[in-house]
Amino acid sequence: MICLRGGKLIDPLNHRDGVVDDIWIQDGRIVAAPENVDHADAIDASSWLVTPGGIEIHSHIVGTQMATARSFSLEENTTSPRLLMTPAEINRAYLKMGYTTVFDAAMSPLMSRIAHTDLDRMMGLDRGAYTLVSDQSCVLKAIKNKNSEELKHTLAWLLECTRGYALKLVNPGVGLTWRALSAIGSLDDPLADTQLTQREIILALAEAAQSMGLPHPIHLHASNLGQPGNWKSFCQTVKALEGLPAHFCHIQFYCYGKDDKGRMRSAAEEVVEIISDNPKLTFDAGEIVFGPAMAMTCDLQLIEWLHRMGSGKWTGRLLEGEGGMGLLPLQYAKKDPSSAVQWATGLELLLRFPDPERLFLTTDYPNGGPFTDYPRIIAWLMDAELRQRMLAQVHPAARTRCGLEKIEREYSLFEVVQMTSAGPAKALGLQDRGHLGIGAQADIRCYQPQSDKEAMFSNPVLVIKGGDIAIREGEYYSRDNGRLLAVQPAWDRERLPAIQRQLQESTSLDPRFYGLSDKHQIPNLEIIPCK
Amino acid sequence: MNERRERSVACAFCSCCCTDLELVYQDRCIKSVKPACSIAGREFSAGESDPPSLKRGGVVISGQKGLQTICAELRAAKLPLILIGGGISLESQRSAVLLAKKLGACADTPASCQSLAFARAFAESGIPMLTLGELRDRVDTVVFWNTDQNQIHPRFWERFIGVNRPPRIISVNFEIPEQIPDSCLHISLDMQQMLAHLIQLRLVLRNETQQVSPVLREMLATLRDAHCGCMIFGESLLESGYGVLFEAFRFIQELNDIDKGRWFGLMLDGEVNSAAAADVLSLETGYPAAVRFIKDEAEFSTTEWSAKRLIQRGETDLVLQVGQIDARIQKEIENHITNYTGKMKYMVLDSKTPLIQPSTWLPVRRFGLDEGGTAMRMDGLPIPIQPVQESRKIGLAEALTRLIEGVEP
Repeated sequence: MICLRGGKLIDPLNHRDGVVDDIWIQDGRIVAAPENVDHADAIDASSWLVTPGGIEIHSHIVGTQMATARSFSLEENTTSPRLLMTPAEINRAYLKMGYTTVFDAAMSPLMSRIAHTDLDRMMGLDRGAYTLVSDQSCVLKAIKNKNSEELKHTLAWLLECTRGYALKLVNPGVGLTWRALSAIGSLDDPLADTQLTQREIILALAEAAQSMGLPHPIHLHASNLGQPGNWKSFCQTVKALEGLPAHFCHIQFYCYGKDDKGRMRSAAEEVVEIISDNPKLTFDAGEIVFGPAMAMTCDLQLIEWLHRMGSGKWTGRLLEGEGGMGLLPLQYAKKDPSSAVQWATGLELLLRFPDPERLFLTTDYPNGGPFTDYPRIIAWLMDAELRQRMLAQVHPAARTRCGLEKIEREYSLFEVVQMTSAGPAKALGLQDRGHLGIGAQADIRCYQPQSDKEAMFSNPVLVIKGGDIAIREGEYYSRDNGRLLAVQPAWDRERLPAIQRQLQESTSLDPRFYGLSDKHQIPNLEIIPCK
Repeated sequence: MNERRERSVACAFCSCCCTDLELVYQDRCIKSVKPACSIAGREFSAGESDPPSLKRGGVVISGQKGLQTICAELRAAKLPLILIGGGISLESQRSAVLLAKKLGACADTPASCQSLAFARAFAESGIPMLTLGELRDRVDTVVFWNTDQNQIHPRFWERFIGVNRPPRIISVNFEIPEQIPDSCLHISLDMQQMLAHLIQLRLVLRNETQQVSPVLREMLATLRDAHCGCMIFGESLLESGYGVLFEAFRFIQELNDIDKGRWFGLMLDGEVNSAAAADVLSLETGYPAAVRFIKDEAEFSTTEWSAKRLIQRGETDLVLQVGQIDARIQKEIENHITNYTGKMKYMVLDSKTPLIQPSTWLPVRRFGLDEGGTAMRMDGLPIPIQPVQESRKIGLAEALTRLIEGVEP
């Protein structure tokens, strides 16, 4: 038994903001203060802030694309700290920052075996991955057949055979259209081959996720990412959901308007006005930080667009029976007007959005930059003066084409914990995480208060994962007690031969080799129940 | 007699990784395999034989005692080098990296044998790739560059080219198999001039010159007419150096930039998981080859830590080869052993008899036959491989696990 004595608790889900109390830990969980204690390891937390562990809702950390990306930036990636880390380095970096649960943003079913071997290297963390479904051939066929039962069984099979946590949609249908030498225009354009529309795919999958009771709703990368003027199509996609729950990822990249000269400007204000009233929707920011980054996405239309805009070399892989994935190195520069607008737009979005339990901090690693820069972003959110100093250093477009300069709001510690822990836990349906209540998993980060918030959030004095000390004063002690989080919705196994027949039409593999094989052993698997 | 059939068996004996094989067992022995190519037919029917002895005095070791011998040598070595080759599972390759890490050793992969030519060309240009199902179903024009896939991938043609509708074929310097239609455009190019040919093709594509041979002009016209094309590179082109690879990759990228069609590239590996070794090392260390572990951190340097350099300069005193490695590196090892007999020990952990004489060889189970794990198909798809027969030999994965435990201080 461990007792964290006398810390100041920042625990939004239990409405505790600076309350001084003890936290008792036994068998990996937070427990009530015992009446009689034979022995407890007491840790003096009286000068610390005690908060629940950080939860990463959207980060590209595993899979073939990471291996390819490392090869693709062979020279650039030899410097330290490097952008494209190994799984072991990612494991340490998250824990050192106080993050204890991490989700990979996009796992190809065809390549899921690679993703899981990478995830197996992150044993210090609870981790999971979202299964890509929006261009998967069997899924699209079920949607085309307008057979919601067939769709739900197909999705459940996919989640099970990939050990996925949620359904990931990436610019739905983009793989089909890109192959057919066309592009997705609007939500209601018929897509190549299937004649389905993007609206039909998104609605069918959102309804299916809700009806299956998945703990996390559809996780959606919408169309037209990064393009000036895209805020309108983004808001159309939001409205197309017709009140169904969804999580929209890296939405900074969708908050762009055009000024009177046709140049990119922030449309964060317009977007916030549209999205803030819908309580069933959650979002993550996808803020950028200045320095090297890597576009890593299944949105091949986006990669091609970036390449044609002059962003240089690219690589990718077209995947049979699915979409594909692409990579393109990026550099966000302070003196570049587009980068400056993107940086300011992300902060403006985070500062204008009223509810930190529905908009979370991410950089869409590695697309917007390294996740290890979260403390720097938090510092900007908490300190208006620091923001102004940074604004003075970047291209003037960040002031003239964005609303950031006039915003005075400063995040409180309570709001930072909402944004990095409590909110993501709720959005992911992880009821025993993101808080410090009795019965919660003992995932805890403690900070020594200091005025330099970047330093404070970079170096928690203590990180506890599953009841064990993982980091103490910067040193790594993890006992690799993390678990793989997955869902397992029920499905009719008699449908398997039909699914496999369909699969055989679009892949060159024997269907038994698709996804993870039956014999693939996942260490420390935890099935999160469906509602 | 007891006859049993096993369907949907995956093959790990070339990087096509066919998943549609049926094995027929009589009692416990594999009696037949179909639809097998010549390689699978030979490998699956090899059965288990007693380890052959080595000629010219090397030692064949086995079992626990053998592992103890290797362990003792590894512990005693000042700067051991772990050479991670192909023909073994991804899991074994990872264990070999972990062994190097535990030892504070150097680790290298076949990628450095070509001075990382492919890796550098890829990093500088990039290249769009595709999986073999896309090649089968979507590609309308295929260019084979110096491929010998009829020899090393006998079923490649039958499974992935023109299954539903035959594509247009351009063959550059390869022997045309019988299946290829007469309309195939066959081109012979001097390998020494390959760089010049590629530069010329790019110049014509960009309208920067019109001076080109009729055959290259015809080739370019066919390429520009494609909706979806794929250039398939054989091992000999991959070995032709950075310049040729870079020009070839840029050529693909420029076809995509200038024309409407989509073009992809595909590298034909020979031995399964040979190219994957670089990915595995990169996964563990961030670098594809030429790494030394110092206090658990990996340091990357092609000038300091590549196998070739370490062996040429006699800086390593023990080479442990895990799996099968490039013939040229084996030649370097042989030269070094010949020149400096006794200074460098050369030990091998593999199922096949080493091409050159090691000082010690521990024969292990054959991946795909009596050892399972993951194989990486040539297009990057991971394929789970199950063992199809029993063996008395030690498995490579197990041997490496025991070595990792054994070298603990």
